Amino acid sequence: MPKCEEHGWVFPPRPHCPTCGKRPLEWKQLSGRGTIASFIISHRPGMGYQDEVPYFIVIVDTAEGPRMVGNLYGVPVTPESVTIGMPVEVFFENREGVHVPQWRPVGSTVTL
Amino acid sequence: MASGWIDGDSVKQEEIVIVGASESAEIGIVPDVSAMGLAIDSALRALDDAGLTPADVDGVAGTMHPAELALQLGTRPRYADGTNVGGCSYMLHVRHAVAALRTGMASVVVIMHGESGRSRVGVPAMSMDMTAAPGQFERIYGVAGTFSMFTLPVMAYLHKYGLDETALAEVSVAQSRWAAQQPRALRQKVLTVDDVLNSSMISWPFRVLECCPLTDGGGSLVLTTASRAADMDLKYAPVVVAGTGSLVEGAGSSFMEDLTSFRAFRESSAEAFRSADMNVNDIDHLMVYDAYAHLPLYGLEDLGFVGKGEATEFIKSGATSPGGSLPMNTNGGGIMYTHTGMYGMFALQEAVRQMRGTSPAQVDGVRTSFVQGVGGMFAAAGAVVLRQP
Repeated sequence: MPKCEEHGWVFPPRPHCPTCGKRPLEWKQLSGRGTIASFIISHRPGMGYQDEVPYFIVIVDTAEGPRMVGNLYGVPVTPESVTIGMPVEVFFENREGVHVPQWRPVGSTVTL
Repeated sequence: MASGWIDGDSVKQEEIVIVGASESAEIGIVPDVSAMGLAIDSALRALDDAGLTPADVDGVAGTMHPAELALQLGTRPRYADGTNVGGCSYMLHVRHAVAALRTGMASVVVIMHGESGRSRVGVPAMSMDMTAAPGQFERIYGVAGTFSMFTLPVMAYLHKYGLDETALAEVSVAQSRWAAQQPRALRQKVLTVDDVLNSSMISWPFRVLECCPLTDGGGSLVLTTASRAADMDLKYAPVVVAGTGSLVEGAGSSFMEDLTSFRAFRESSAEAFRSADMNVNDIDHLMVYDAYAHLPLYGLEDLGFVGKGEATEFIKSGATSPGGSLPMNTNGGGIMYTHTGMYGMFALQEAVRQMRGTSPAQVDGVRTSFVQGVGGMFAAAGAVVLRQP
């Protein structure tokens, strides 16, 4: 994720810092940890998700601060499986060569 | 902070009024009229309110291409506004028209909306832009529609205030009481919390009766200066645009500054109140754009009508229902009345009806109305305050 030395992480990624305009920015690695900030359970399939209904769409507050959307795997797809603040960690889904960040509970070994 | 109004007493003094307001003859499911046809039908009806014809119009605004709107209506306007920040664009069109009319850029502005959201007549196929930020970072995760992204922040809100999914159902229940009095509403049944919770699941915690239906419809407003209006043959007393505000916050719901409060609601409403020289105690009637049932909760709190976390209790108490202290979404809202895709025009139409005393669900003695719009998915907001002359 791009990071401005003075103003921090830039997400969604942009070539410049939205606060001071500095460019270019250096890309730095995050810890891959975060917590669930919000979620829904989709009962209608989105593009490419025809066989997955129902599934979680979540917002994750990364440990470093930036907020990211993803899907949550590794728990039953019920409202009771998730609590706001639940710790999660990133893993990557390979979609035809594009590596997409996804989320699972800390300690889970689920992959796609 | 800058007031957002053009300085200079001469500019501020002229009152801007709504002299025409109409929806298309048909709304809801209209399979035989194009989006443009719905817009133009409503525009001609709105002009008729003021005894005007297209030849009198020198300003056009809308989310459709202003040149096409002008051609179809039959005018060569000096002033054109194609602002499109989603469903609240019409609130911004009102705001911009006020400035244009005050500065002489136009003398009669028509703001038009037409959308064939359900029947898709005369509109390009729907497509999602996958290159913009929401496409790259939200929609790739199985977002099937606005119901699986606009809704996403709500669990953060409910969790923060110790609420559960019945909070959303209360919104639909209250609004169904208004919709039952509205013959043009798509959903007219008075609902209970159980009715709502037992309706089909769309995007947990949202049931279908907490989501807007997709419909067809048009609506237009005609604005001019108070002095020009005095010379017109008006069917209804003019309605004064007392104040406006707007803010563009970001690209989508996950990019909100705070998942439990919408900054663009807060700032656009504050500016609208300030420019109208009013506060919440001055407001008799409220419209809060409700594509989904959580928006009136955010709206009541962010506009300052209730404290943080108090909106559910307020709605549950009947305060926003018929007979309550703050009648809200008296057309039944986007969820019950109609939702063409960009609903803001219909919230404005109901506010004008309430000011004119012509709503089928008329509230007695409405002197002021506050109309709060949202655009995109928590991306932008526009507010308009109306008052009697």
